[in-house]
Amino acid sequence: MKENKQPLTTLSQQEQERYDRQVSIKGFGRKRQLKLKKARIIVAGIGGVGSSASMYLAVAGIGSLTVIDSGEVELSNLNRQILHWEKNLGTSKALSAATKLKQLNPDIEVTAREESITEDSVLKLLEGTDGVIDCLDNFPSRYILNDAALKLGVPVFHAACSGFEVRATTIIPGVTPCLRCLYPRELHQAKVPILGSIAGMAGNIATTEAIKLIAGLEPTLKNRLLIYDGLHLRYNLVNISRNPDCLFCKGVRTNEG
Amino acid sequence: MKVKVLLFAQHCEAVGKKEIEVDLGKIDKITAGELYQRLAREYPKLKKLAKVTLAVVNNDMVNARALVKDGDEVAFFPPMGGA
Ligand SMILES: [Zn+2]
Repeated sequence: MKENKQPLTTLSQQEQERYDRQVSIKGFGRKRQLKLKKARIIVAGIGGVGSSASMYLAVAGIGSLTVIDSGEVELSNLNRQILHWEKNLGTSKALSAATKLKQLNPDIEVTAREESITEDSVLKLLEGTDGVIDCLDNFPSRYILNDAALKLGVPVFHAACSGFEVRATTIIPGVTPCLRCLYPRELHQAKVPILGSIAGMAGNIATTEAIKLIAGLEPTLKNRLLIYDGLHLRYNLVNISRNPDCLFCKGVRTNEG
Repeated sequence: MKVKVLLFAQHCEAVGKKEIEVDLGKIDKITAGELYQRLAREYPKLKKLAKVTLAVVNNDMVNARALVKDGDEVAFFPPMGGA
């Protein structure tokens, strides 16, 4: 992918015009846009949730975007994984995504990592990042990502879906509950049924959270779990707290403030 | 006592309803775990989900030992990991 050669301290004429409609939101402004430009964000998993999450991070002007996925595009992905198209069947999801994200916004840097999130790879993958969107499709990988993010003090924007439902929360190591505080036990499911528009919502909620945290806008989903049920049209914000007995985030200190 | 129970995801599917009103008669307090066990007797499909069940009382996530009182709103649901 082409390197982003633009200075990180200013917005070019092209960037000012490209981002004009969000910079002009009351309380947003150029300063916050510059924060997005300086940010390095990882999208872990480019499935249904990761597709929308990464597309909106790209068009919002997140300066450096890394997409991680070891999988290849399958036909049954295409009901929801909108960054992958029929012509991409059998090819790398990370590359398929990165190619399109770069076209969506040539002003940002996009990196593809065709790798799995494993205990061996995860710390290196997360090093130096400002945040990671957890769009992984299985609990073992989500837990590995959680544990590494706790070690490195990296915020995790958790997003998941099933059927017509969305869950999202913002995990700040040392401040909020971690994924293991929230879900001490995983739910085994061979195949999770998902409507594409719902996966898209999950990704967009996590991306909105990431943009707000980087830009310094409150409130966020810290210490709260969002449950959205699109079938019955229910929306709940559940207060969640750290489990004092959680072996994984016990003693983790905050990088915040 | 009476409580309202909201059900999400697989718990909603297991009961076949998004919410139920539960009348516990003369009982004036019960733990979230005991309430779930009572529901699982009425809706046996909930039994399989017991180990992964998360409980919320009046919008706060709680553990199974948390007390539920008359008029409380309780929610039960499983973890979610799909993408
Ligand atoms: Zn924890």
